[in-house]
Amino acid sequence: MASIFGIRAWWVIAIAVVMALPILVVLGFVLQPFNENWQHLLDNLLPEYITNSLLLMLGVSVGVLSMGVICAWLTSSCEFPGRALLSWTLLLPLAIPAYIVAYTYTGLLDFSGPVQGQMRVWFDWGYGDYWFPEVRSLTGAICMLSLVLYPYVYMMSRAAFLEQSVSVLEASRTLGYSPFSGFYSVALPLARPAIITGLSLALMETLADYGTVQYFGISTFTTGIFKAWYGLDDSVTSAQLASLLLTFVAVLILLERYSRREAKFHNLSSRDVNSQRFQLRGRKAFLATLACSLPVIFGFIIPASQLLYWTITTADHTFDSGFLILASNSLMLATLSAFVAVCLALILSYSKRLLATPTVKSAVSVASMGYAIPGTVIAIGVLLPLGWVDDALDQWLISTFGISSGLLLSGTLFALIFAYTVRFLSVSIQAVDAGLSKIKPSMDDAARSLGLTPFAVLKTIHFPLMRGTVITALLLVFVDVLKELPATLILRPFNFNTLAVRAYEMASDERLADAGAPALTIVLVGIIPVILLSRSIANSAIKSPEGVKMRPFSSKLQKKAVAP
Amino acid sequence: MSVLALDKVKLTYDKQAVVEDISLSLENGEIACLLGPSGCGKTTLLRAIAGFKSLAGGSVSSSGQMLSSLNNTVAPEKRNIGMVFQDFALFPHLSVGDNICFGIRRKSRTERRQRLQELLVLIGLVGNDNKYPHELSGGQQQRVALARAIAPKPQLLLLDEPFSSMDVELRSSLAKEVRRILKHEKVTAVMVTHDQHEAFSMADRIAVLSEGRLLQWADAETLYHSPINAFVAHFVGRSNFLEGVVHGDLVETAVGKFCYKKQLNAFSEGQNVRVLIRPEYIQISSSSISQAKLVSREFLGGYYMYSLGLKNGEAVQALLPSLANYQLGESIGITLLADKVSIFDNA
Repeated sequence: MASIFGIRAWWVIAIAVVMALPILVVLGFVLQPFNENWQHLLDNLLPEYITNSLLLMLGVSVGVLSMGVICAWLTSSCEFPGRALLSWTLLLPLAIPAYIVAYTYTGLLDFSGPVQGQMRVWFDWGYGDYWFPEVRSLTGAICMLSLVLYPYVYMMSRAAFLEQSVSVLEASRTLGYSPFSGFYSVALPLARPAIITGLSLALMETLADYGTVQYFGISTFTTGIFKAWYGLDDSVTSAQLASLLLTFVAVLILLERYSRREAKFHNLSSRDVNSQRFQLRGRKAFLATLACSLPVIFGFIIPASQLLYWTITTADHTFDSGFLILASNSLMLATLSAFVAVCLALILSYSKRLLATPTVKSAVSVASMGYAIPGTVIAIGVLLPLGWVDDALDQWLISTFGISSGLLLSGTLFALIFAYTVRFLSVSIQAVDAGLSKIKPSMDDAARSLGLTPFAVLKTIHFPLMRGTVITALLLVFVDVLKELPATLILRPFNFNTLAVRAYEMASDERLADAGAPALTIVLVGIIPVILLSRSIANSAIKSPEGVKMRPFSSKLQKKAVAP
Repeated sequence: MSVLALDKVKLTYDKQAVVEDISLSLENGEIACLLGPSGCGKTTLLRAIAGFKSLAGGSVSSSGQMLSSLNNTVAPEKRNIGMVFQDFALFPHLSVGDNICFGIRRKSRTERRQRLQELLVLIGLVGNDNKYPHELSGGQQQRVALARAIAPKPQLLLLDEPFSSMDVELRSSLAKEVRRILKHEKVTAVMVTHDQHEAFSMADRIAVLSEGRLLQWADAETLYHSPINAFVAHFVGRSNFLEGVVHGDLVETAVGKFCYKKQLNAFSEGQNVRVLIRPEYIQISSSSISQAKLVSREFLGGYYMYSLGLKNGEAVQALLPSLANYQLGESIGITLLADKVSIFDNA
C-alpha cells in the first residue's frame, strides 16, 4: 500500500529534520563561548528572569487549576441552572490572546480608567488618597494569563470526568462516601493525568507569553531574549537565553508525556450515556452557577465588551485603508501558513498510518515538537540559519556577479511562514490524526476487495471522510497564526504589519483605544474554532464535522437492541 | 475445477513464519471454515487469499487462474473476491443502499436498483436503504456488510470472524441466517472463527489450524468423531481419554473392548494408546459389568453432564438426560454407544 502511494520514510525524516532545525540551532548555541553580556546577565538579570518565570508559573497553576477543575466537575457531574450554556461558554476565553486581555483590563482598571475614575467621582478622592491594586504587576499578569489559559485544564479534566465510569463513582457512594467526598477520593485521582496534561499545556503558553509580561513590565525569559536581541544586538546571548528557556519547556514536555502515558491505565470503561447528574438545589445551585459564570464574565464578556466599546468609539479613524491592509496581511499569512501546515500534516499522518515503523513514528513526533516551543525561541532559531544562508548567498553573488541579493529568505514572508509551520504543525497533525483514526484500515481493505484501486480508495472513501477534518485543521492553524505575536514581531519584513502587531504597537504607544479594532477582529475570528471545539465536546457521541454521526459500531446498546 | 486452491502456502511476519505448508481446495458452492485458537494464523491466511498479504512460498489459485505466488500478487481489487470484515467496515458517509451498491457501481442504474432490492429482501432490511450505518443495530450492520460483499457476485467470499462482536444468543441465529443467504446465492465462502459451534453450524468443510499448520481438513462429523489427533479432539468438543491396549482389531479399556478406527500410522499389538470418549458415547446399561460411580454433575438444561469415577481410578464425563434423576454417589453400569472409537498414540 505504502509503496503504491509513493510515500517513503525519508520524506518524513526530511520534514522532521527541517522542522527541528530552529530548535537544534538554538540549542547549538549552548556550545558557543559565553561572552561579557552573558556575565552581565548572570550577575544582574538572570535571577530575576528565573524568579519571575517561576512565580508566574506557580500563580498561573493555582489559577487555572482552581477555575478549570471546579468548573469541569460542576458542569460534568452536577445539574444546576445554566449548566448546558456554561459548559461551552467556559471555553470562550480561549479565543482571546492573553496580551489582549491585559490591554483591556489595563484600560479598565488604570488610574485614568473608568473604574477608578468613577470611584473618585463617587467618593470625591484625588490622586494618592486611596489604594487600588496595580494591574500592571506580577499578580496582574498571573490573573490575565489564568483567565485565558484555564480552558485547557477545564477541557481536559471535563473530558476525563465524562469518561469516568459511573459505576466507580457509585461504588464509592455504596461505600459511604458523599458525592463531594467521592470527588476528592475517586473522581479527582482518576482525572489527575488529564488535569496534569491540561496544566502543562497552560504552563507552556505561560512560558511562551511575551505580550502580557512585556506590557506589564515584568522581566521574564521572553522579554530577556527580546532585550538581548534588540537592545544588546547580541544573537549569541539571546540564543543562549532561549536554550535555557527550553530546559523549562523540556520539563513540561516530560510532565505532559508522563501524564498521558499514565492516562492509559486510568481509562476504565465508558460511561453510560444516560447517567444521572447530581441535582443541585437552592443555595448550592446558585453557588455553582456563580462559580461557573465568573470565569466566563471575567475571561470573556468584560474584555470583549471593552474591545467592542473601543472599536465603536474609534471606528471613524481606525477602519481606513490601513486597516484593510492589516487585515489582508494577516489573512494572507494565516491562510498560507495553514495551507503549508495542513499539507505537511497530511503527508506525515498518512505516512504514519501506511508505514507505521518506529522510525517514522518518532520522526513525526519530532516534527510536532513545536507546540511546546515559545514563538520567541522559534523566531530566533529560524532567523539565525536563514541569515547565514542569505549572507553566504549575498557574498557569493557580489564576488561572482557584482550584484547583491539582499535578504532573500530571512527578511521575507518565507521566514514567517516557516516559523509558523514549525510552531503550529502539531495542531494540524493532531486534527488530521483524529480524522484519520475514524477511517478504519478495514474500510480501505473493504473498498479494495470491492474493486477499487488505491487511488480510487483515496478519492471515494478518504476524501469525503477527511474533508471536514482538513477544514478544521486549516481553521485551527489559521486562528493560531492570527494570534501569534512574538514570532511575528521578530520575523516580519520591514514595514509589514499584521493585526496582532498593530494591537501591540498601539498598546505600547499608550493608545489602548486604537488597539481595540484589530484586537476585536482577532477575537471574533478566534471564536470560530472555540465553537467547533465546544460542539465536539458537548456531544459525547463522536461526530464528524459534516454532522455524520460515527458511533463505535459494536456498542453495547446496539447489541441489546437486536436481541429478541 | 476448484474455486479456491491453496498449495503449500507459506506466510511470514518479519521473516518469522506464521503459516506454513497449507494445502487445501474448495469446490463451487461449498462453505469452508478456518478454525483454530487465536494466533494460529487463520486471519493472516484469509488476508493472503484476499490479496492483502503476499506469500512467502506456495501459491493461491482460483478456477485455474494464479492469484498469488512467491513473486506475484494480483491486487485485491482484481480478484473478484468479496470480504466481510470483523468490524464490518461499513462506509460511514454512505447510506445503506450506497454501501451495498459500492461494488456494482459500473452496472446500469436499473441493474443496480434490482440487485439492491433483491439483497434487501434477502437480508430482511427492505426500506432501510436510505438509513446510515450508525442508525442500524449491530446485527443489521452485519447483514449490510454481507450484502455489500456479495452484491458483485464474487466467485469467492471471505468472512473474518463475522460474529465475534455479537452477543452469544445472536450469534447462532445470525450464523444460520448467513448460511441461508450464502446457500441461496450459491456463494463459495471461507470463514475464519475460533468458535467450533460457529464452524459446525456454518461450514461444509472445516480446516483446523494450530500454530500455522493445517491439522485436519474435513467435514464437521469427521472432525468430531474421528479427529486426527488429541489437539483436534480437544478443540472441537468435550473429550475424555481412557487408557487402552491394542489387541488385534480391538482396543481394551476399563469400560470394555471396542473396534477402533484405522489411522494412517498403524498400531502394533500390545501398544498402549489413548482412547477418545465423547460424553454422549456413554450409555446407562444395568446389565453392564463396567460399573462407574457418579461423582458430580453440572445441570445443562435438557441434560446433566456427570463426572464418573471408574474402578481403576480413571475419570470420564457422560451426558445423560436430566429427567432420569440419578443420585450422586450411586454406582451404575455403563456401556459405549459408538461402534468404533478413535485412538491416539500415548504421547
